[in-house]
Amino acid sequence: MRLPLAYRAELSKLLSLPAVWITLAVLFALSPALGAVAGPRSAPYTGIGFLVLGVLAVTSEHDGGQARTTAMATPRRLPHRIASTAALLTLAFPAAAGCASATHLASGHPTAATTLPALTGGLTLAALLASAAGLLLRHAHGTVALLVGYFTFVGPVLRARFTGVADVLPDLAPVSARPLPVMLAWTLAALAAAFVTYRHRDI
Amino acid sequence: MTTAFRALRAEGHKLLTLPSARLAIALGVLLPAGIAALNARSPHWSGGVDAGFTELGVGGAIGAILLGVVAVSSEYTTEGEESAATRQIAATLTATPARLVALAAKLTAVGLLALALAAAAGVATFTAVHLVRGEPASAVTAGRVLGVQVYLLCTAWLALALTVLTRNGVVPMAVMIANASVMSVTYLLSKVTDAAHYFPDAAGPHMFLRGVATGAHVAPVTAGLVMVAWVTAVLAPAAVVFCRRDA
Repeated sequence: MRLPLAYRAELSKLLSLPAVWITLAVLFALSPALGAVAGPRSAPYTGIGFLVLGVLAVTSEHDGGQARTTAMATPRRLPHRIASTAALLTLAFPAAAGCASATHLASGHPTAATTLPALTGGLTLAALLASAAGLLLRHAHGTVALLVGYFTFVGPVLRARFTGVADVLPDLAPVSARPLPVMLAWTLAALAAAFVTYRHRDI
Repeated sequence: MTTAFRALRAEGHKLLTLPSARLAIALGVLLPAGIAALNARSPHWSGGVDAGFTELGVGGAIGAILLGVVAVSSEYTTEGEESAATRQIAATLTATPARLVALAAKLTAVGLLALALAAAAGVATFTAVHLVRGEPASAVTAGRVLGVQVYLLCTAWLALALTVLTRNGVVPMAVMIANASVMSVTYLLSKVTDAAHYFPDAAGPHMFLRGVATGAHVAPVTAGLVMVAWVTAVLAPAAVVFCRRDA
């Protein structure tokens, strides 16, 4: 069976990236500190770390010739994307749960138990959305600049100016579960667009 | 033609041909103009002395940060094992072995481009406000426009110096962009300690903003000096490391 092998290969590549470990270490060090200072409002800052994580996971393939080696070993592009996304999910979901718990424990917020699942889901989706954007652009710096610029500047301004669009724009690490379906829809759309582009692209 | 001038011309060529540097200039000009137009259209538009300047301080800074980061990080990315050149930095230092000259040329090229970006962003933003409102933005004085220029120049240099230290730009860029925009870690820190008011992204905009809602009052000239102090404090170790480290 090809898929489990591809999944194992993707996971091992991901876990051997120093940048991924550094990002995770910084996240686990900073999210309780920010949680203690700002409470649940610090969630979007943790979200930026997950954007970086998702971008790094994909663009590391295109820094150097790794993408060609990958395509040689897994010529079918759909199984490769499934394996790659699953590997990122395996890493991002526990990390998101850990960071969300650390933030809430440090903030001592009374509603921590109810917001934890929403925050975990939001952070995980941020990483997946960023990986799709990274695959589309194949360039770490440009992708991070666009994503962070959108989520910290353009998004909040649009949200404040047009009350209607607030419900259909993706939001970074929401504290309530209500915007999660919107974020999920954006993530799935971005993953689909990234796959279609990747499917027809010379590497 | 002297060595320094040749190095500057080479750095300028490299920078202008980088797709991400072009993205930086496009973002730095279009973001503040677009957001300023959006804000000016809003029925809740407050007008005020900071119309246009607030957007320049954030959108322009995003462009300046990206410019400063990619100018250095592009030197260190690998092109893949089958291409003849490995990392650009090898060619750069072979052509310009005097490392301080190479660094100074890069600083000058990024600085000139950041100033051009600031000028273009200023013209675009205030034109956008004028077109949308039908009247020019208020209190656009030479001093405040100069403040925007100095702020974006120092921000680009700060991003450049940080990236020289780290040699990978993703993390410095994510931190600096988030910090320059609506979600500032400095703002959170300012609730804990007053020293946070003297972080570059908190003090720098006082060069051109008049009605900052939060934070201590910092005079424009003081703000400029704080920015220069930050640039010097990061650039000095960056220069030492760049001169002494194996590329």
